[in-house]
Amino acid sequence: MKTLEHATRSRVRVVSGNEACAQAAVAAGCRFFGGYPITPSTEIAEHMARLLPPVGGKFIQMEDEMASLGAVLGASVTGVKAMTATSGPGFSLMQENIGYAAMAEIPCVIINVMRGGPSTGLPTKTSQADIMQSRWGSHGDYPVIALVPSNVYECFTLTIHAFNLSEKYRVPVIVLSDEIVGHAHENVVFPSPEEITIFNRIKPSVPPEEYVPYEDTPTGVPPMASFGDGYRYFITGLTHDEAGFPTSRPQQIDALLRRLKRKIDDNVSDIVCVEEFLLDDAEIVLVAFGSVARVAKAAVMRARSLGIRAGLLRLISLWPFPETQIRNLPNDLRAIIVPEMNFGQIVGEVSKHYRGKAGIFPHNRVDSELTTIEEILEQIEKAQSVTRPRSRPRSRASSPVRQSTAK
Amino acid sequence: MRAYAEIARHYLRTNRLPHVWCPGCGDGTVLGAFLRAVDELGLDKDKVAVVSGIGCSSRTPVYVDFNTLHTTHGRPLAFATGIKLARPELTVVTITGDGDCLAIGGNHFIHACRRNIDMTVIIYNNSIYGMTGGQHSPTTPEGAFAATIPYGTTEPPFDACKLAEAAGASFVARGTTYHTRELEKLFVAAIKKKGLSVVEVIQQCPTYYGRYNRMRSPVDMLNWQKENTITVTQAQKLDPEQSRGKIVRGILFERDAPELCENYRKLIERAQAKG
Amino acid sequence: MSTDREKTTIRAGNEAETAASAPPADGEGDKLSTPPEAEKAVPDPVEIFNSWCKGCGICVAFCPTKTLALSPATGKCIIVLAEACSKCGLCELRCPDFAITVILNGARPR
Repeated sequence: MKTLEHATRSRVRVVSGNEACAQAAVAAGCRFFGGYPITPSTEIAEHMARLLPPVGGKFIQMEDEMASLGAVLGASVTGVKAMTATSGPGFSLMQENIGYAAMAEIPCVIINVMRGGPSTGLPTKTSQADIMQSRWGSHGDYPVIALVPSNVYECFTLTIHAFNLSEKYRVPVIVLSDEIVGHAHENVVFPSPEEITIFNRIKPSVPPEEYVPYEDTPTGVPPMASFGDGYRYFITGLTHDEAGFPTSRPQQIDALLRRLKRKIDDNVSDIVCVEEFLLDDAEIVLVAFGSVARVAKAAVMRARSLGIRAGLLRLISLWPFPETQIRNLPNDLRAIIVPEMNFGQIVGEVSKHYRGKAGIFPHNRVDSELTTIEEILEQIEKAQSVTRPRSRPRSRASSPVRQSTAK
Repeated sequence: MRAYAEIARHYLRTNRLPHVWCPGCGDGTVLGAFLRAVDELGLDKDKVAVVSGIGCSSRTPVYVDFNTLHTTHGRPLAFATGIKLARPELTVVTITGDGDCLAIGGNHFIHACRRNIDMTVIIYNNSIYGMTGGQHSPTTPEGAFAATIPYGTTEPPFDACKLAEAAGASFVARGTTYHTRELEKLFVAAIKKKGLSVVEVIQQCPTYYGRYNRMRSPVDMLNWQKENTITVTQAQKLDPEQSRGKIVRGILFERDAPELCENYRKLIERAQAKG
Repeated sequence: MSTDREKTTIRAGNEAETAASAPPADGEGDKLSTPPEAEKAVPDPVEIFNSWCKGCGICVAFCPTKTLALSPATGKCIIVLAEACSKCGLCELRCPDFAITVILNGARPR
């Protein structure tokens, strides 16, 4: 992602996270939106309805969320970048077609502005409880990418990034916003078009008679022909051979499913994205994402001012999970704290991949209110009194660290 | 005399045949009529998109040499709407069944009709769920039997054509696999018509519907269609007593109405003019 | 709509009937289903694609001239009364499997 140091003052506006998502989609080349109103994502649809026609794009409010994603996928196979936006209940309805998009390898972006759940839950407040659903909400083994913005500006940059990843890997990409980030209004410096990197799907370079729609390639991603361009091929959600036709042969099924998995697994270093904040000398590491990550960052800074060596690993891509970054956390931390607004959906992944001796402490808030700095600080201070597993040489961090007194 | 099968074979992916459908199934007959209609209209293969859901009839796109999309159960009209709106120059035909379109896909059907988007929907109505082994569907007639109604029906069926008309379709027709040449003409008219066109085709499922309802041979079922359907003209001429219980076939309803892609094109012009 | 036309059935000679009802060679791809060795009084009026035919019997039932039958051996369509065929095309029109074609002007289609 290019930096915005050269952006002019006139492109600074105060916008909501939801509007930033919509502006980003259009900037990324999205020219089709199919959606259904649902709090707290509805503004995305409204902005798209307003922004698309002037650029020749198409907006349609479909009759439900299944149809919304269906229309998006239909548009995408004609070569048009397409997106939808929803929240929990709608996201649940979309799962079948998300699986279809993954199996048929149709690029699409789905924004899920998370809200209180389960079920109707609390439409106007936030949670972070759709994490596992964004990975495994559909049936079967399928690839998916999920990105999680934690501020309005990231709603913009990550939505563009979502389109790029979706086009590059021919996979559905989910942007896991939440009600706080979606409705927050912040200053955004909009980049000019030249400053934005756009990636478009690779189209076949061979004539139609030589085109193999689902062939394996060095990247695992087959070139994608658009309907109407002369390549008349077959797309299905059934297990299929390289020509795209249904198969029940074990060898072909194995090859297909493994290639779908490989598309993501082999490209993890390109896809995974985290932010490391004061991790170098940290003894207590917070692992957080989304709106809670902002609170965690503030808590880390507060802890540092109290002499506690805290740090934050902020997850920006959630799926594929940043395993390497977790494994790279030092073995001898005092503690790893995972604050989430759910009963613990990322903490299990952290535990799965962390090989060190530090205890992993979830901090869960499910009452619709945003986790506070004080709550996290309290966890950090508790962790500070934990004996470190073994001594290690002082790091070469610049600032001297004051030992806090044990409570 | 036209070589019917030859015309049809020009549009088939012949290396995928013989097709999966049962001996005597009406799916192949409908497909033949559809392909002959495409030929009659002189459509460019590259600009035809055939979309289907899930079911026996939804296997059709495998066999046809167009842009083909086999989607999720009940949802083909949503995908087709996306294709057509994104790329209006394509001729979009949705192939769906009585279960796919009128049960799980019912909502998408009525909204596609309401939007009056320029597409053709062909509902292959065999009054059964064939692919899954013969369960009843929203069009299974009263008094019939099926795998999930072993003791008989308790629900009446839909009239898909009345539904389409009420929901806003511009062209509604019904044909049968017995009346093959008529069917081809209905397809030509439906595809030509600007707006949402619906053609319901009454066709035979000898393997399940036939077996459950004592019509084991496809020939019996085709003859049943001949005996039990009448044209629009005949329906107008006959007494209510004579036409009771008969199914009317032909063009049942037609009107001219604003079409979605055209509306949206004008909307874009207005939005761009606003600056 | 069906166009059943009454046609005078030309009675075939016994020889031709016997030859036609002998078990046909079951072949792959495009093959005539009547044994090539038979002394044919009349050339085949239709071509049957054996590998696509599923023996549903629709063509047989709707042939107005009783030209076709289902082979007792294979269950698939065979020509039994070649000279009776009026080339009306109903078999080709009604076949759900694209498995039968009327041979026009003596030339084989495709």
